[in-house]
Amino acid sequence: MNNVDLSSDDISRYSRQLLLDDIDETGQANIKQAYAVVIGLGGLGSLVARYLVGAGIGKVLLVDSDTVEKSNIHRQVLFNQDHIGQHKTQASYAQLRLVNPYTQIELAENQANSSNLPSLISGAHCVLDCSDNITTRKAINAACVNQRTALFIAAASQYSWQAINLRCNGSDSGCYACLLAQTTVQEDCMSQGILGPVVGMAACFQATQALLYLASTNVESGVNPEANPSAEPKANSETQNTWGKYYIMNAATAQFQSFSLPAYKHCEVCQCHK
Amino acid sequence: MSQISISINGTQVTCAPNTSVLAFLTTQGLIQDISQDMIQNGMAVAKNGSILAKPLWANSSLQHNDKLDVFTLVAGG
Ligand SMILES: [Zn+2]
Repeated sequence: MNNVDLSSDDISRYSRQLLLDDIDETGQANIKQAYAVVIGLGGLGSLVARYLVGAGIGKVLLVDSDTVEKSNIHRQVLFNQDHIGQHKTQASYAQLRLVNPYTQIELAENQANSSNLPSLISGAHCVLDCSDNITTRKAINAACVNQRTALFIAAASQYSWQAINLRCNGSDSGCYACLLAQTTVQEDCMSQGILGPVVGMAACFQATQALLYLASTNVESGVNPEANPSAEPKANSETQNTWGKYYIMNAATAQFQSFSLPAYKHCEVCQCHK
Repeated sequence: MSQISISINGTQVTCAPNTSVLAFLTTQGLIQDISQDMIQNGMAVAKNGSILAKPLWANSSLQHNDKLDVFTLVAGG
């Protein structure tokens, strides 16, 4: 059981999501105690942060070292003309404070890297990889595998978005490094182009999956029904069979694909943690 | 049988039995929409719905009715 009570303000503020079987009062209380780290405040992170804070998450840490540029505004929905030149963390804070005064919002004006990530994600109940390059994504994956932290990854380019939910729990599922395994990936939307709502779809999927995970996880006891089958699962939970599946959607053609990601037995990141 | 049939991105094609995934993908002219450039830049392959790590492409041989999906990994955000 969860011993965090919802206030009358909570009940009215979150009334529409409380109607959902996978949220209800228990899930909302879990979300209220949850702590997520959002790495990157671009097209993914600005929207992810908005939804997590709007949904009443207890605490978020927003990690980004960039400042807002004019070319960001078409897809990075927290920012407007007035924010150009401001640090994304500061601009996000100002906007998110207005969305929900109850969430504890912390900022790290850092470029996430393999040195600082272990401390940046320490204590988090989940991490959302909203970064925009392979080097950072690899470092986030490694830190999450090391600390066995649930990781929600999304990415987008042109009209296509991709996403995967990862949790290193000794299963046969692979990690992000298993996915890459010697593959080189062309960098970012600077050269490839991106339509705002396409990266927005990726962010919406990522935020949905993270919220359902956090709602189903009692962070005080550390019990997640799926991670620990002997724990009592939520009555109507139909979600969270999405771990380890790589989703691809072409938003222009509406083609949707999903593939399983088996562990690559020579993976230097996840296979030494078994 | 002299040739086997496999599906790649939904299109049926034939190849020799036991062709490796790598040899198949690099067969010039066999699949027009897979360029050498794509192999260099983030190309990923799923065989029968399961992602096949790139180092395994050379040793994974194709069987009759195998289904390949080739896609490009993206990293932007
Ligand atoms: Zn791995």
